Amino acid sequence: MVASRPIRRIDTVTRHLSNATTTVLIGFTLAALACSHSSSLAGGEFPPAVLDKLDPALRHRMDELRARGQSDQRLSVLVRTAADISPDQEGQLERLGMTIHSTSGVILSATLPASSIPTAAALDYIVRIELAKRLKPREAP
Amino acid sequence: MKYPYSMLILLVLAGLFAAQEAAGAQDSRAKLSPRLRMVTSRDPALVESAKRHLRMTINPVSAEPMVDAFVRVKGDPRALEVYGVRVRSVLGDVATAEIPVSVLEAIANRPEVIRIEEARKLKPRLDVSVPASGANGVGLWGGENAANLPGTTGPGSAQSRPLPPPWSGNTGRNVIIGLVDTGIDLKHGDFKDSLGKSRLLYVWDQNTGKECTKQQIDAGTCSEKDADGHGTHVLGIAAGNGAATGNNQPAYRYIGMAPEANLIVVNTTFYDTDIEDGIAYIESKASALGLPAVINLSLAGHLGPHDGTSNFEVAMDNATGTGRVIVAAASNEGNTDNVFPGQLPDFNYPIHASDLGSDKVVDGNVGPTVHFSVPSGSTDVVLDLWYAGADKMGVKVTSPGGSCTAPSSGFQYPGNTTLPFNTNCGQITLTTPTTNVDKLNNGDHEIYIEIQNIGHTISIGSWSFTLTGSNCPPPTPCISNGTFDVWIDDTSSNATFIDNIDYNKTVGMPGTATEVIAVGAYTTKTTWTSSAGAAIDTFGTVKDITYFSSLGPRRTCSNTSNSICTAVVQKPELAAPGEEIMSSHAAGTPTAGYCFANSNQCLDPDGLHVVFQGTSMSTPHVTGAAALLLAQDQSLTADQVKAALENAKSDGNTGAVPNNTWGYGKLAVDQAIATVGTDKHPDPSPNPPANVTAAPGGGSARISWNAITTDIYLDGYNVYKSTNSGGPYTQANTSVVSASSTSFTVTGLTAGTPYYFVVRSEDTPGIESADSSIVTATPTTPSGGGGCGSLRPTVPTTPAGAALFLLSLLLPPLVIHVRRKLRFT
Repeated sequence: MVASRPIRRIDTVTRHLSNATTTVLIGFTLAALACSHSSSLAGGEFPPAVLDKLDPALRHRMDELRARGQSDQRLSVLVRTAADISPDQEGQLERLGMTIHSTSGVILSATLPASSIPTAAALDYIVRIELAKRLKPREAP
Repeated sequence: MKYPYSMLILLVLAGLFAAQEAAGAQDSRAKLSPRLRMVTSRDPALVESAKRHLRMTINPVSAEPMVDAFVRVKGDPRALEVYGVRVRSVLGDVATAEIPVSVLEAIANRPEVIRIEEARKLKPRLDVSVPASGANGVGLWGGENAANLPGTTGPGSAQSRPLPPPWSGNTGRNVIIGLVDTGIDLKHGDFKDSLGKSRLLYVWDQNTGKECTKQQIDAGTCSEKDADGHGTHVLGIAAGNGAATGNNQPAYRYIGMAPEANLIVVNTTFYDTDIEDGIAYIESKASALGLPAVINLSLAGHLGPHDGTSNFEVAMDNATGTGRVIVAAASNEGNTDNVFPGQLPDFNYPIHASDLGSDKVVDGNVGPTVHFSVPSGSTDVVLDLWYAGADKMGVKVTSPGGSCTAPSSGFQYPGNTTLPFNTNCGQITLTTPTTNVDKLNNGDHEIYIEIQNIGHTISIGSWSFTLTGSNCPPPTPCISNGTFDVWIDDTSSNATFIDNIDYNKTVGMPGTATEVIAVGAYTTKTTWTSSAGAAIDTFGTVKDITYFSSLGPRRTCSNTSNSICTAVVQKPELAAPGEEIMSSHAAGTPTAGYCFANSNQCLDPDGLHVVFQGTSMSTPHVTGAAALLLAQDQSLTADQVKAALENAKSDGNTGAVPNNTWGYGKLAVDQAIATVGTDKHPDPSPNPPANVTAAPGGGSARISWNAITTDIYLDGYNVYKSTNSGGPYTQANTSVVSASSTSFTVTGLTAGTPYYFVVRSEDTPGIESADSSIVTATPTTPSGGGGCGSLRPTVPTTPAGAALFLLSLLLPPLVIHVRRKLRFT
């Protein structure tokens, strides 16, 4: 069943990270991003197990943003978790800069910085992250 | 002493028996609908009131009055014929019958009888399509196809016989219809109740972040608008009440499926994440109100697997459940035109290509090559290709004329992930699967191709992609299956396939989600009267599928350990009217649709309704139907609603069902309702007010009660008086006491006479609660004027009057009155 959640804004730059594991992961990710001169995610800086969790449209969009130096831009995504998310896991995602807007079972509607997506995808309880896709009304001509 | 004890015991037993009998009678009366309870009451006024709404006949033999009704029984309804009941037809456990009024209670007392309801008069909805959806014959409403109603001769005939409220039958009360769309014209009369108040409970605009409550909407402080008109039109089909009209045209010609449903609208950005948020918003509001909700999604997209396994599709499944139903458009890419096959290039959007069963990728071979057309003005063309995870296909994209390719040589295989190729024909990005393990769990591979105006303008013309089954990374073989499906994302471009076109599997997402009901469209009208005169649609054939309705099935994924992949799911589930549907027109928006040559041909003469077409229009017919089912039984699950709706109509046009064009056939609400029985949900009548008190006044009594705050339909209260506690009671107020009031003074009463009062709450359509507790008051003698200073003594002028006057001095209730008179004498 879907439940709405209050929108919470989290400053991803100044927020203290209390979870050491998350800190290490983020540091690793940022370092990897900073050192990468490749124009794409194909350069191998992320293990396949992480990239496998990202849908192609999202990988493409992340590449675009990185090429433009806009990896801090927030993206709307649908995140699938292995099970209903726990408060601890929710807190962990929030520390990555994720804002969860609503949940529908194991699917979260969320926004987060593009730069945080590989780190989030590396978490074991994250199964899949898909970029928000546009639909349209179906009135025929 | 033995004899008196025996008598006492007998009296007690008799009392207990009588009480039990009375309780049993009360239980059996609960099986009667409110109007049948009224017609069997001992109050002549109630009986007369009920008779106005009942279809009555006289038995030619016994001369007894008979009432036309539905009876739901456990067992054979014909067993009731011993009571003089004339059973006409039996649908499952429901029978239509004529029942002598005198035996209604006796029949209701039989244990096998579950419920008896009177037959209810139908009214036209959306003039043609709603009746065509089977909303007749079971006390339901009907809509956009008056041509199918008895006594009508064709489209537009409903215009001569408007049937205004009060509503009767199942109108979707106590169910929320949620709309996630382009917004709503809040001022449109089709969404206001008989008191002129909005039927919208909440509006949330995701584009502005603003939320409006019903109070704000009624106060006129909500700025929400529908700048497109699509949402207003869609909601009119699902739930408009047809009240809006203008230019001296009759009202109530275009009544939606569930004209008394509660409404919540989300004006969305059309991103799937926001759509999910919108659904969460509607469902949270519905939960707070304790009401079921049906959510209408007249929208679709083609970027994704189309197999039920994407996050968006799974989110939709998760959002359904008990009292939670989602209905979505099948989409408009079917090209099922039977009138001018192949002659509608402007209307023909081939956005799906496949191996077609005979053009598979073969291990060791190169091919096939699939061409697609990129029209001028394209800035972003996206293709999404899916194939079985056991295969490893290579892909190459070629520009018109072959001047640009990506990759520049050879093919890109799984493992290369995302690579942009900057060419003189635009930037071509190929994203291929990284490994053979698909975390999406559908067991398949996805190739994502995007051509953008980056570096260079996209070349216009015939592009192609070529697949290959040779030279893939080890291990080999590359191909064991060879099938593929590819869709063009039609939200980013108007590109279309040129070859390998496959109109099957064009049901869009989220219509492909397992629990979502996907709706195709058929034609119920091709001519209508417009503000520009007679209008005609030459592309449709009445009763046949529309030329645009998307076709199933959904794509089958290959992970046999995933229950979504192994589930047998019919897509679309059914078809509903979707061509030339006249419905609510949002002020200031274009009158689009088919009438691009003369937009006035789409506008009704009243200026407030407009013709649109599409599966966007067929979807709300089913949404309204689902609302009617939930109004009938709020405990229904999404699966049960879907199963009920799949009891659709088939005919010569549908052929054998289910099939990938019609699903289970044409929407038939009457048949669906029959499968869930009648009114399992408790009577939706409002509760009577509590804590009723009566205070005597001069020739009057002031009746007070506690406000009812939990009934969103509450219209107000009615006060009834009687000089006998057992009635009959007559209404004391001439117009309903406002819902915001908690007292009413009954005047014109006889001083010294004890009066008894009851209060009933009333819902907007005139449905009353049961009586409140009885209260009593004995009015005093009225004072002489409108204020103390104007009071004058009433001087008896006859001996009898003088005697009464003197006697009155001895009666306590009059003492104060006399003293006041004396004081001012």
